[in-house]
Amino acid sequence: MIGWVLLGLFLLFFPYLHTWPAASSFLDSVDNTTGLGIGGTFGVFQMTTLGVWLVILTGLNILTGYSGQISLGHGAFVAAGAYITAILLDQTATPLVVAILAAAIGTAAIGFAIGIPSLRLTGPYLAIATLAIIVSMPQFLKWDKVSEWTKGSTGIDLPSADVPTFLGLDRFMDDSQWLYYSVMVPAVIMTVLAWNLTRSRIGRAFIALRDSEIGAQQMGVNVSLYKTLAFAISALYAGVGGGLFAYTQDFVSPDSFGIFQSIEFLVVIVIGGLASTLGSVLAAIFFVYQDGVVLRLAELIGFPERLRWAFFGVGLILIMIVAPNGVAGLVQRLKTLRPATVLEMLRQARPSAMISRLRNHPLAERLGLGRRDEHDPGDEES
Amino acid sequence: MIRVLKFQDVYASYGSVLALQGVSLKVAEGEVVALLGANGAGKSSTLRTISGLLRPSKGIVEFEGRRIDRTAPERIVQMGISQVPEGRQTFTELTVIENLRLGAYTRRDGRAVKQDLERVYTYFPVLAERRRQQAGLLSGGEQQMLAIGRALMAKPRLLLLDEPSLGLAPILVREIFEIIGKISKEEGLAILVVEQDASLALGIASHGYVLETGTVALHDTADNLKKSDSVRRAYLE
Amino acid sequence: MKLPNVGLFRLVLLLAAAMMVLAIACSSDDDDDGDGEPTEPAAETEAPSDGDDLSFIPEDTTGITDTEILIGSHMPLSESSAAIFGTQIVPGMQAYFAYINETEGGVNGRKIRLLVGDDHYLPSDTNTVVRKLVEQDGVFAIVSGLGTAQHTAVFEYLTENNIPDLFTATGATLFTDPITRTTFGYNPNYVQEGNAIGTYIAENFPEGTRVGLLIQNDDFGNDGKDGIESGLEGSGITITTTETYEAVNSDMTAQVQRLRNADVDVIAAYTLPLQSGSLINNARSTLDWDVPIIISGVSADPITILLAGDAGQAEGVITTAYLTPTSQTEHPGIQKHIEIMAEYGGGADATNLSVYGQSVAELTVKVFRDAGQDINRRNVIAAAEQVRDFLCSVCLGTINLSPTDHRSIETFSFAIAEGDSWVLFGDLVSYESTP
Ligand SMILES: Nc1ncnc2c1ncn2[C@@H]1O[C@H](COP(=O)(O)OP(=O)(O)O)[C@@H](O)[C@H]1O
Ligand SMILES: [Mg+2]
Repeated sequence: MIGWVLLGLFLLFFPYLHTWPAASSFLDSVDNTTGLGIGGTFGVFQMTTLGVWLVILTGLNILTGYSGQISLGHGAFVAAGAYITAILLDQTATPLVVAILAAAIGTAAIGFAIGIPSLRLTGPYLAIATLAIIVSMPQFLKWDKVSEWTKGSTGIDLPSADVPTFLGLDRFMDDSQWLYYSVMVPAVIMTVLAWNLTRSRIGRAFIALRDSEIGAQQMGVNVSLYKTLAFAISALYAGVGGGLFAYTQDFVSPDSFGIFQSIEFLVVIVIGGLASTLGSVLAAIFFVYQDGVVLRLAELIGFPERLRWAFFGVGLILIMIVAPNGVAGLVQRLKTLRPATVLEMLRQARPSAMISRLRNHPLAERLGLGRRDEHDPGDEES
Repeated sequence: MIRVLKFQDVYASYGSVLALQGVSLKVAEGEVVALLGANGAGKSSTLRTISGLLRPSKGIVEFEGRRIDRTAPERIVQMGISQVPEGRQTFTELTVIENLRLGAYTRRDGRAVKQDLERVYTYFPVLAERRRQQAGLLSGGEQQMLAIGRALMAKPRLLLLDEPSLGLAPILVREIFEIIGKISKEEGLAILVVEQDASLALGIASHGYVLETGTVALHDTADNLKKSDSVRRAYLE
Repeated sequence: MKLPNVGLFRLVLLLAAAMMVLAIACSSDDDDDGDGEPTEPAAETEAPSDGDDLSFIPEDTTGITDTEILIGSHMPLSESSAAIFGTQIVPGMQAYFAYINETEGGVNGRKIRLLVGDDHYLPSDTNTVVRKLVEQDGVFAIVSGLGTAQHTAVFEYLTENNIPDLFTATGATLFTDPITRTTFGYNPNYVQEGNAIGTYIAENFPEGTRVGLLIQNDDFGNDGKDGIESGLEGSGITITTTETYEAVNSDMTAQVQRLRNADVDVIAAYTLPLQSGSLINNARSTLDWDVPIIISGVSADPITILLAGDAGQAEGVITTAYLTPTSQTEHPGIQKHIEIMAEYGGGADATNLSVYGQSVAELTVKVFRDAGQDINRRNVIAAAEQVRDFLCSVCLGTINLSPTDHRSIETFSFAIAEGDSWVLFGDLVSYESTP
């Protein structure tokens, strides 16, 4: 409880922390040693983008972590939300919140629509189909029929966000602080909602159909409805995240959402922890701050920064072996970890065991890299 | 006796593969019925047709007097038919108790669910011991018990069991069948059990049907079937 | 069907409620002058863009110490095919700065240090790396930020904060037209280049010639097309067919076939090296078609000739160039560049793109030097606007800038493929807008 209050206070006062000299020099020294990027106005901006990615990654975790469907093209949903918001802000006098709400609903509808054909696709096929969506998205945005609104390849350049004079807000905060609150408030609300959702009937239905579609169906879960619902909810989150993205970046273009980025989304939620709200939070932290840290690491030990993806790959495989439930799972396990268990784990650390753990990871299974046989561990004992 | 399930001249197919070619059978209240037959005879398909996963192309399926051959699977669960599918299909990454709770997914009576949970624990004490453990870490027998327990949590009036003995050691299988018999008696629950091991199934059943390539080849009381030459030859020796 | 998603309904409701609260909070989000950033000097968003008055730019010396001028850039260095640009341009810049720092002790006694943020060619990452450079590293200026969409993402931010935004590495017109006093372009813009290509066709082909275009479906291609159209105007020669492609697509077979079917007499292309190579290869070897081909200078790299297939296939293809190609090994500027790269290039090769990097670095050094001992953000802009007749060691034409002209390179030459390199020919074409 006390932890939550402290976290709340931290989030509430963070944008003012750097204006307090003692805290500011502390943050700066952290940055200097770790490369994190939490001090100064840049720190506030980073934290703001953290809020944006948190919404997006939480949504992806609902789809992939909970309902077990892989999307390699999640950036397309984010793009949809960002474009809906940007078009409304650019060409109409829609207030920001209405624009983001429209993005949420519009993107959820798109997600639902994409979810329906995906019912026929599973595992690697679904992954490839979603990848195709992100690959073809730039062409769509530049298409003659829509370029009047999307501004084609140029993209939509919005005026940068200013703190409103309403209620004299501008006397208490600058633009960067305003941006922080306008992102962090919805981000926190949506994270809490996601946490609730995953513990509700809907969340249990998602988990059930992830673990066993047949089993779920036998329990009375409407599998098709829930699979598409997972897409819709996940897209709704991407839509809101995309809207916040457009507002904070004040620019969207067909180049804004790359294929690499969509793959990185997936990588970070596996590292953070699938099917866990804490996992999504860690994923967002990792997504935003790893660049700076890797850069600093590169400086310190002198490997070229270009090897970031090699570093990523090795890290991902290690996490999949050591912590199939991501860092969030590791945190949970640390609470109950005894030296004996660690020794036991080390004792079992044979290459074959590691490979089988890797193949057993949910992600590997969904991508069709895992074991194909319907084998369960119980059979050997009985 | 009240008829729980009526299956009348049912045809069903997977694309061009005809799985059921005019199957008729009945299950009455509180009765255990065995469905026997060789591999590929259409036993699983029969269960799937009952639970709405396979649509019959012809024929009538009635549950407690209501047609269900065009009803959605989740609705059928709500109406009171629960199936333990072949291969158990437990939710391996969830704990035992979470699995059981998911069994009550379509129910809204929270208090009664708690009582039913306790009842499942009395039938399968091992599940109570392991309630916080991940289902994936249970042994095969324990997973089968969990699958049955989970099906019971839906508070069914008809339970469908598909080869509960598959891949289990004989002692375990006997234990599970004993419990199934006990549940049927105590709960007054109608059970339709598919089994390759005819002697086991007929041990707890009152009736039995023998399927052969999608049709009913034989139907009789369990005692008569046990004595029947053809059944003995085909399934008991 | 009975909808079991009461939870979802509640979620949407809650979301809506939360949004309402926010809606009220920012419904009057319409003022522009409430800029109260405590750390940044007061910024006038509406900069006076006429006259010589630069007083709206503070005489800020962020990034300047007694011994150093700290500058930053955003470049794609990884995770994108555009990384081929960053990974060659950056060594060229770094090598030249190191050379100046070593041999001349820097500029006016201050060494130049360049920090490069890898934006992976992703505009949102550009935003992050540039803010980090400005707010955390405290750079004095951004130099040679690469990419149109990428630079658009930070253009307004740099402008609002009066950060010198020098010599952007893109040919897009939007950064220099209309003029923003703190931003200077570098590459010749594609409209001018297209006009030169159009004019070339008008002068060298008979009336009634059918021109076929192959353009990338973005600003690069569209600007080029506009330019070509303007160059052809009044010549009696028209564009009869336009084929487009998406940047992710590198196979031009279908497009070339359609151009052939349209029976065009000459092909002008706004294509990147990969697509240029495919264009030439398909025309020459697949269709055995010796149609004259003119491509944008963006493809004026030996790699294009290599990609065109077997030796000789690219022979005679025409392009434009504004820097001396590395193939001119007897050129003193190129010889010096090769030396500098060998000494300070950290193992990187001398390529046409490293030549580009050095040329930008030379202009940067020139402007910093001219700003003088008391260099600050205002006088560096003033110095840049006073660059006249500056000929860098590898440039073909001189660079002229003024308060009404923020375009650096506006002079170029034509080049023709000979063997495995591009050879300059003909007179220089100048679009210089500073008198
Ligand atoms: N999913 C399916 N697709 C196509 N044919 C199937 C499928 N499932 C079962 N069959 C076929 O239907 C027939 C009956 O199968 P099934 O009901 O599973 O038999 P049993 O359970 O008695 O072994 C068999 O010929 C089988 O090959
Ligand atoms: Mg079967």
